[in-house]
Amino acid sequence: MKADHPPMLELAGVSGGYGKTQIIDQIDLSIGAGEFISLLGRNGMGKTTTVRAIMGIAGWVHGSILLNGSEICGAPTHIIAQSGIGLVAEGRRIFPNLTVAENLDAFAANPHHHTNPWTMDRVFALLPTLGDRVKSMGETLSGGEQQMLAIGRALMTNPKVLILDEATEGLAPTVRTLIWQILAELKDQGLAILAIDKHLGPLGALSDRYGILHKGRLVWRGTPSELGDQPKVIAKYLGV
Amino acid sequence: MTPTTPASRWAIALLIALAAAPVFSALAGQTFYVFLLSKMMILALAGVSLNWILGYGNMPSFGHAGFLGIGAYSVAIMSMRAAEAQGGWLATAFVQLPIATLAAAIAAIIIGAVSLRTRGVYFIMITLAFGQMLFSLGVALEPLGGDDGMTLPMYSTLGPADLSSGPVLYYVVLGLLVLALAGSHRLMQSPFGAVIRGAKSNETRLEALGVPTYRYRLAAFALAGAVCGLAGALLANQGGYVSPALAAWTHSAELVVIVLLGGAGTLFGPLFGALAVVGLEEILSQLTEHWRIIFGPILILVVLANRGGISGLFRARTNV
Repeated sequence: MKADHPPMLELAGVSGGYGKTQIIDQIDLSIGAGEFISLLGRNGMGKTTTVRAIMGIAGWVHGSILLNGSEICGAPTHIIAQSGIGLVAEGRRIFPNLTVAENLDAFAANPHHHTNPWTMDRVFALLPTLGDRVKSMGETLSGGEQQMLAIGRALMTNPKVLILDEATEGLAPTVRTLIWQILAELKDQGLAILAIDKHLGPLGALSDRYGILHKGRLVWRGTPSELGDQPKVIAKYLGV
Repeated sequence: MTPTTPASRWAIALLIALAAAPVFSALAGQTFYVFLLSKMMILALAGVSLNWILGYGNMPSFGHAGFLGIGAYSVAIMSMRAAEAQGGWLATAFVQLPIATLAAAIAAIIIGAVSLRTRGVYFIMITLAFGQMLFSLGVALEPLGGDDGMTLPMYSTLGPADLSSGPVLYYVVLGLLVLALAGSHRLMQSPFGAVIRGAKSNETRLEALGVPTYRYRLAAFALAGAVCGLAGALLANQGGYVSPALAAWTHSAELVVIVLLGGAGTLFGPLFGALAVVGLEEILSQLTEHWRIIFGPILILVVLANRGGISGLFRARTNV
């Protein structure tokens, strides 16, 4: 970690799973403010479980998860979210029966506790397509618009760390590019970002570091260029 | 729903017609209809409250009539005390209705605190069980007539009048129903309502956005219980009589039917539902005493053909 990225989210020895099944094992990971980390790995290697463990929605979780220095491991999910983690979950999961404005506004968190809080206007400036559809029901949005809404909704909780699980899954390439641009902008604004994705190309341009999960363990860590120099690692852990 | 949809135009026309109905029934000498429409509006009020949790919040309570019972018995007990004292402050509707509402709210907080830890079919079972407990409590209350129930010794007073008068009760009920509908609109458009409606589709997601959903759902459950208690207090005055049957599960089921038939999760659904249920019951029961044989299939057809209930029928027709 570079000195100009004070740690925002730090996982130390985090294990988790469901019932008797352990999915992730001793994960160590640190993300600083303004840093973009990508978790890679094939399907079923524990990427989503890692995210769910951080949010307290996995079955069980052990270890230490520090958010801005405070322990959040084992806390109730809504407390973790209130403490400053914004989640853009797999499959988007916007509220279909709420309007765009309601999806954003109903979950806005304590604006007066933040120096530069996210407002609907600020979200619409970042995501202009949403501004045109304020009164539309969530279910009437296109896939790309729903994804933007999911990102906007997470931002309205004024997170310190933004976690995106497969944020560009199933989207048209142009929309995907747009989302990468938005994330680059958020990174520049100093947000710590943890992304799970499969598209190594655009991720390489955005990510400060990669972590590769294999069978629940973090088996490789490095920068995108370091990974580029190691085709064997790519073939072993990411190749299809 | 905004007040400009076809369903809401029909509903507002219906409310205006309801406001005028006692005048016409008095002119026609048919005061029975004032009695019947009062009952319909009280059930609509109970339906509005159930709609908050069942329709908007996907909390299918099958014990909601228990709160009707609490409201009604609260009035009965206060009316007994007031009759012993030959009137006094305990006799007025301004005291009786709020206390009945509060009693139901407290019961709803206790019942909700337990029930809302469960989901789906378990929630149905546990609310059903609580409803039946309240029913059994009514049966066990010998001083209040036990299984047979009791006639109110005196009605809730309202200044010089009391709620035994058909038109006075009628307009009190209509006023409270309009207030409840307006409140329902405001509530469900508020951030609180957005959380309740959001919890219907995805609770985990709400938690991940920092919302303690349990507390929100409990607040909605308590509010629904409170307003249903108010409906119960009015129902006691409407019939001049309370009995454990008010809290019976069949009565809870009738409220569920009102919400589903009218259109769950729509603002005016419970109003249409109550009108349809009370109206059909009245019409069909004149044709045959086995009127439920006809009523059942009608309910199934409406719900199957259009999952938005009667409110949905208006929408479907305008979309064509």
